[in-house]
Amino acid sequence: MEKTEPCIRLENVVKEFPSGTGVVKALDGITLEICPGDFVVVNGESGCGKSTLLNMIGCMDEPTEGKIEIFGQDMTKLSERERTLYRRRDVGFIFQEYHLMPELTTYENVEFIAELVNDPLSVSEVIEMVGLTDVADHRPGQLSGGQQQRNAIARAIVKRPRLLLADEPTAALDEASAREVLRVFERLIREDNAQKAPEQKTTLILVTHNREIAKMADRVVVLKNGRIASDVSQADPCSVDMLEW
Amino acid sequence: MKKTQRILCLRYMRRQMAACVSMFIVAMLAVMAYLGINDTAQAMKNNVERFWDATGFRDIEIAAPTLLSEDDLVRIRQTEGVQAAESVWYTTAHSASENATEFDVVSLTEQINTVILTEGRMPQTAEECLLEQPVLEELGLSVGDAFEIGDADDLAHRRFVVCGIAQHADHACLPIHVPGNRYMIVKKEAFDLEGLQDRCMKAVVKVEGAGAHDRFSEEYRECVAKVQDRLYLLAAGDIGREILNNTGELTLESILTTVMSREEEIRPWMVFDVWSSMYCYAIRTAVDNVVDIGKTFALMFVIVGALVIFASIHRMVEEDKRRIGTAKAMGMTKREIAARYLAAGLVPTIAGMLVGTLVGYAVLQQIMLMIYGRFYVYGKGSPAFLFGLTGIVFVAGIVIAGMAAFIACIGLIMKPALSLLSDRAWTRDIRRTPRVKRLKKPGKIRSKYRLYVRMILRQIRREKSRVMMIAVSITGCMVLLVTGFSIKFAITSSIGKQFSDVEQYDLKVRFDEATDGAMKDEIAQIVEAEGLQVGASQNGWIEVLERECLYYAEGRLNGGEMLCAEPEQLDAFFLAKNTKNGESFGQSQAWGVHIPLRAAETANINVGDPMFLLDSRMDLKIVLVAGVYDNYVGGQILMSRKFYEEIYEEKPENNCILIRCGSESLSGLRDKLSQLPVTVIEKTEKRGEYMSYTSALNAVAGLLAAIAAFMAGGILINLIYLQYYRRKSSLVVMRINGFTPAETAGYVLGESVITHIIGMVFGIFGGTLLSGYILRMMEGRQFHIIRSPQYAAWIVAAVILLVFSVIIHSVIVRAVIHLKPSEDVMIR
Repeated sequence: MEKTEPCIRLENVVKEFPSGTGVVKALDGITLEICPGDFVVVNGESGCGKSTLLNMIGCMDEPTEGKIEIFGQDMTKLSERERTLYRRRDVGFIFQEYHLMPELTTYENVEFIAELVNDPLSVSEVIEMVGLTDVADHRPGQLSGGQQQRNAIARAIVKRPRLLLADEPTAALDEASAREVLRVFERLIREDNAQKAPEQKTTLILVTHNREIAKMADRVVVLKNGRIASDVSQADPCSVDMLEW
Repeated sequence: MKKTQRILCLRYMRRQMAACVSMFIVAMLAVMAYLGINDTAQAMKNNVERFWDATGFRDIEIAAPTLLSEDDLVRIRQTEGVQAAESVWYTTAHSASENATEFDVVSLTEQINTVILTEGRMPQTAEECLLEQPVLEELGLSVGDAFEIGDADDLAHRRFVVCGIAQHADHACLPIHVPGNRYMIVKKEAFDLEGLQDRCMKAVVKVEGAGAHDRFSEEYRECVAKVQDRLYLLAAGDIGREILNNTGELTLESILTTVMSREEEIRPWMVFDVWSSMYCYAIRTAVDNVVDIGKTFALMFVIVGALVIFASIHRMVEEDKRRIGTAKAMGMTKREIAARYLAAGLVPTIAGMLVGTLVGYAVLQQIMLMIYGRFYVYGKGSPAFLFGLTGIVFVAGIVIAGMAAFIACIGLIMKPALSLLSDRAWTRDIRRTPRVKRLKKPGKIRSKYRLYVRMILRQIRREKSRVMMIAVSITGCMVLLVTGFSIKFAITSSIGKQFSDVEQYDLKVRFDEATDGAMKDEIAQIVEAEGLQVGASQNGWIEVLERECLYYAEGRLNGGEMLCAEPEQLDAFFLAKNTKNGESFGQSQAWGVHIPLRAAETANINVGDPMFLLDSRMDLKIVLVAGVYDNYVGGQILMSRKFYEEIYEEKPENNCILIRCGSESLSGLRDKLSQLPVTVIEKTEKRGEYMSYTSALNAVAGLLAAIAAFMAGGILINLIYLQYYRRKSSLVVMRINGFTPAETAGYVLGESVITHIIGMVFGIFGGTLLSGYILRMMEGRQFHIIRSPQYAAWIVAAVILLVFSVIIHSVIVRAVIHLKPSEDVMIR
């Protein structure tokens, strides 16, 4: 595979949280580089710092120590407004709990985010891509968990983000729903990215504690106690259909 | 705002319907009350100003006991600042009919103090007259009818033909509001000009530049006061100049003092401004009352409204914590996120304000004008719209709602998205209170109460600001209710107290003192035939002298009534108790006059002070104030017969009989006495008269109390739902964990009980203070309102609040009881 310059660089990133009388190190000296178009799965047990790492990359939180450089920019030096702009322009978030706007329909939830950027994808096409055309006028309360998560993915990708950050997107779903969601990711990374220039490719960082999902990734980073326990590139990632639940 | 953001905002408001409806109602009622009342005050001013402008109402009236010559008129016209002056002939007359209706006869003027013809035509001869509607009705006449005058001084004729009906500038108020004689208007030739040597009784004056000012304004008062002083100087002549040389200042008081100190009899002119007229004073009092209500009570609606809007938006934003986090994570700016809450706060508020403005203008104002319109010859008049105040209210409303939304959401919007999305609590509390310590040392609450009760208390402690907002909002509702009902009850009770505690007679019979002997004997025969005894405190009657008078107060002469009787006898018929020692007039040994509390307060007169008293014969005396007594309505200045004899050097000629007969013989006695050419007034009639005088105020207070009740309902719906929805997930968890529906409902009700108790206690306190303040402003020169707390108002207000509360809580309790443990509280 043709390698380009990393789009994400973490250098000795530490994140501490206060706890009781002392502090807890959620991340303890993480150094990591991720290239554009990579599908990276961050794996590990609960409390190992997976979500914290994702939040650092998404500029939802700031490191206690260390440097985070994304798309050539030192994120630790950005103002709050610049961080917002970065999330608005470059990042698509997908949460375990979906966090859809309950008042809006499937279509409107996607449109809501499409309106934030200048050159979004077609809302209808994105809805079709995630297979929700039939329920485009349904509200989140009328959708299944898998449908809600696919709606959240559609919402995340409609603004053509360079970075997709998914935090346990399948944790709350059954096998069928989880496969539906993962199929969307697969299509995004394997099919859509193939048609893009290297620097335009979408990078997906997926946090999960499910080791099976990790088989889909180009690279699997395993965290343990806030440190990288292993960082393995997979030359031949398997497809969703080959995963065993 | 982008398209989907607008859609989201609209749907969000739909989801928050209870809060939005509550904000709408509260904003509507607050603005309706505030603008409606202030518009009404302006409309009342405009309407009377229009009437006065149409009739060329005088700025000054000069009454001269020694009559005014043409030379005097010329001197008045030449006085600096006088624009024009006209002479007026005037007398009091009785009809020749059986009931001897009393009215005043006044000459027609050309430009100043003219009439508005409502029917018929103007008099063309000296034998034709115009009648004011109340006189026409009392005499039972129609236009074209002729009638005879029984007795009247200074008239050249006795027979007149009614050629029309007119409204006179002097009488903007109908007798229902201000009793007193109304006019028969004639050409000046109807008076015996030869006999009067062309001298007139009054002059009406227009002041230069006064027309440019609103008559209710301070500028107008100052403009007229300058000319008034010059006219006093003119009237006082040498004395005036002497006073001015000696003291450098000429006031009515200094003139009266000097006049009284002279041995020779000098009767100065009385120079009255507009507000010295009791008709104008009544209008001013009504307008001032409405203005005062607008400034205080109605403003309280706005304050409570602002508070509730703040609480509502705060709650809406708090509920949306996670979604704010999501929006932030999605890259939405703070401004874009805040816009939704600003819109959610502003849209119902602005919509409420718009509807409130319209309802205030078109409904509340019309109702209030209708209530007051019964009192004025021009009816309810036209409504007014205060563009400036409306603009200010809108700007203030938008700023308040905007600020409330901003303050409510800024805290959350400033937080990192992560902390909004996460349930993990990296809170300071945990760091401050180590787990071990907390386990080892249970607090007092922990040991004393069950976990269930502690949960309620902890919830209150944890959400102090929310609980405080609810308690403050309930306080606001209670303040409004207590204020409204306190005003209403205080006014009604004051009149009730006047007739239960002060005026004890059942019938008052007035006759002309000139006819004295014969009439008095006839009355005495009728009364004694009913078994009533003279001087007896029960089933008895007494003779008194009742005469209209003026007393000097607040820099001007004020109207009152002189009541002269044997003090010991009067106690049983008119019980005047000293405000300080509770002694009755009969028990008091003090030498001088006894004046009502309000007269003493408004004139700043204390016991032992001298007071100028001018009776209806324009006889000026200085009297000593011997006592101040509790009186609620009216301005009776009491004096003993001996005191009268001393100051007037004559025996009082009684013109009135007060009767205490009990209800059984009342109607029979009244019928018999009504056969005589006397005026018979039943106590209940007088009470009705006073009730009518205060009915507008009473109705307005009732109206505002009703609005306050509606507002309380709207507020409570929001507050109680706020308590419920905030804790819905906790309630589901409780149900899942085996709490009974009753225990779960009790968890919600526990906080309500506490917030209601706090709100009601503070509300009663605040409402009592506010109503006391408003009532003090409403008190007039002759209207003293009970100042003690109105306990009935507390009870009514509490009952209304509790009724609303119970209804709304019952809905909540029902919802709690039917809460399904399976309910997904995370997806809302």
